[in-house]
Amino acid sequence: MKRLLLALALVALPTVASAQDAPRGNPTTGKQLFDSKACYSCHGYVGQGSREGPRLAPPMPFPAFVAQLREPRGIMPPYKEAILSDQQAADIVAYLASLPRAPDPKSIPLLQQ
Amino acid sequence: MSKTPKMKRRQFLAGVAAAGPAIGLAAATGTAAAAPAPSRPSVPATPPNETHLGSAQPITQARSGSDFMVDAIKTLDIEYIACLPAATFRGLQESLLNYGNNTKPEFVMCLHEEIAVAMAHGYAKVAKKPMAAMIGGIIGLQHASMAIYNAYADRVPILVLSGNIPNGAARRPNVEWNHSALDQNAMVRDFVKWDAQPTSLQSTAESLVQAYDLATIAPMGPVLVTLDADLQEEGLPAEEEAQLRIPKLRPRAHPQADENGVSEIARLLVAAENPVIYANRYGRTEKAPALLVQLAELLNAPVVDGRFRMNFPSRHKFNHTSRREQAFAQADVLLALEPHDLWGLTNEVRDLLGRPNVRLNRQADLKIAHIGTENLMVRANYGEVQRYAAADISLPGDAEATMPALIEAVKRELNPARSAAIAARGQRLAEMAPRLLEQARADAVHGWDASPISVPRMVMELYDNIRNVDWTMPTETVFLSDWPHRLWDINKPHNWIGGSGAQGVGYNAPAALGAALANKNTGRITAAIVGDGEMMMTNQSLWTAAHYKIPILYLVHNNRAYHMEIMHTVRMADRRSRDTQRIRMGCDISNPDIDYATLAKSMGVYGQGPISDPKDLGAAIKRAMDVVKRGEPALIDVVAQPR
Repeated sequence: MKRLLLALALVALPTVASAQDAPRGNPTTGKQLFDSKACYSCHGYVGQGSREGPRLAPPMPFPAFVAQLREPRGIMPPYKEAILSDQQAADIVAYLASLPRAPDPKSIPLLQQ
Repeated sequence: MSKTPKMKRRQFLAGVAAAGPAIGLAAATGTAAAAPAPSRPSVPATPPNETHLGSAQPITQARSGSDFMVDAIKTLDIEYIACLPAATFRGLQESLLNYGNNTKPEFVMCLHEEIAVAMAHGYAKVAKKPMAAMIGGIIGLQHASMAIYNAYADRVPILVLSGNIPNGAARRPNVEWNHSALDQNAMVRDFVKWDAQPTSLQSTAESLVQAYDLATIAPMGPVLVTLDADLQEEGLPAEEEAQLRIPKLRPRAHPQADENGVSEIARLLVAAENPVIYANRYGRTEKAPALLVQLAELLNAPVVDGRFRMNFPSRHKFNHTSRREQAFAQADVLLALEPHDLWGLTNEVRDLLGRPNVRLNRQADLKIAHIGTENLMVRANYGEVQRYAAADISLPGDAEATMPALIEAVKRELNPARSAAIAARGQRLAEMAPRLLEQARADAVHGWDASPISVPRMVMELYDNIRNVDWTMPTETVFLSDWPHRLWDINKPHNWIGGSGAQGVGYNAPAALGAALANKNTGRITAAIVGDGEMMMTNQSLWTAAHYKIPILYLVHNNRAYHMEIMHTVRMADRRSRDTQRIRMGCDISNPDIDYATLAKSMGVYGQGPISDPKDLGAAIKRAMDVVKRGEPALIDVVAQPR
């Protein structure tokens, strides 16, 4: 719910991108960028989230994603276009969208202990 | 008693040595006093030989000052003394081993002074009593200083012993001068509870007992006694020893908060609509969690655990730590038990440009009641005192010692007018508890099958192997995103012991070993998760584990970096709109990747890994657990996600 509210709030803000003009992303490039731009350092290599940064996979819509990069809410550092272009952001979103869905916790015996 | 006036043996030897060339010259000329010294002697001066010295001074002694020091130490019920050998306490070392028969205390050899102190740190939090650490003069104390600071910030009792040669005339040139000081304790005086440098055997005995007494009274802390090397090594005649006395250590009560203040807090808590209890460095003994459960269940109040100690069972229906901010935002009364950082309960400094100070979302009429010992031991220089904040009621006193009185005061205050509201609150909170655990499990599945292995997967594979035995997880969980606390059933006082205190890197491996030493022969399994950067600071702990067959399972959380620093440096690069490609330089621990299993094997510890496929981890832990259950240490290198 928190993530949904965040996404809705961000969509309502003036953004540099909209869903319609979102560039087509390349998930392979996106994975490389996710590592080289150090997104993994707070969000984990597969966007699973950690104490340092929220879960990113599956990704929020592209406009909200870019808005969070450019004018972050909370203490996330800003990723301006000088260091991460809209195209690169789209690649990262594509990577996050390509990741397998998380399993049902009830299907994992280790998590029933 | 005062020392018998006489020339000390070291002074005598030093005097002879200083006179050496003159004696040699006199022997060569036979007229040294009368004849003027030649400007260039035709033959070099002959140094005195051992026979010459020995004829003037006894060369053996039956009883030494350090034997008496051992007598004093043995009155303190200290099981172990962690030590890296050093010349400044060679007299005491020999006495402990031979005169003291290496029992109570028993030597535990370490390969770094920081390890010796950190072992004592972890030991004290499981054993609930101090062990000793013996640290060489000057350089040894410099090595140990970070670990002492950790223990001070964590309010953990350790008896640190060191040595010094205060008499300059007795020091041999070079090394002994380099390793002596006028006041060596000065370098750590800002972060020990008390220190002494006694100059007589009587004062030494009193200092040792006083140090132990002060260390173990709340607020607890490390203490340092520097032992005079001369006093250690000099002979102890029977007539002199007959006058020495070792004071008896008598247990003292910990300071309790004022009774009237306790009653006032009880009134506040009972009258509150949404009281919240925050406990941080509260749990001092094994009784602490049960007492806090009693208080929470009387009030039907949620407990938020700061986790500096084992304070409250992780799956208790009133453990609302995972919704800390929501609980605090609703609170009208907040009871803070040994909070350590009172200011941080209502404020934060955001890690943004300008470091803005922000008042957190709290009720405008929030009342804060504080019970703790934070202000009973403060030093000016180091910031561990934390930022000033005033509570509405602040009672100096040990929170655990005060808890029985607070429980009784709350019982007195409970009344029928409040019972319905309190009961309804309890039901509401209890209904939340299962959802908090379900949420944690739902969060844990993301990246469950990923490689590097996800942190919740790693901690649950470990938990699967320890949950049916009695266990201690003695290492910090902040860098594990707190997954053990979110997912494990942590309910026994020794399951969890908190962290380092001052975040001095290198604490975890040796502190875990100290915890394992305390657990040895109890049947408990000590299972530690240690970051790779941490492990490389103090990996020599593995040798001590193997040498003394201390059963412990180490999982190396190998993210191949000082990862916290990656996040810091990324933040700087992003703020400055600079590239992040280089930020891992100076933070990554790779190229080459360290082979921790081989490192362990090189020191006699069973090692496995690197393991990066989550499907392999459970079986690897099981194999390692078989080793640990045989009474030996084991290590698994787990290539894992950063957090």
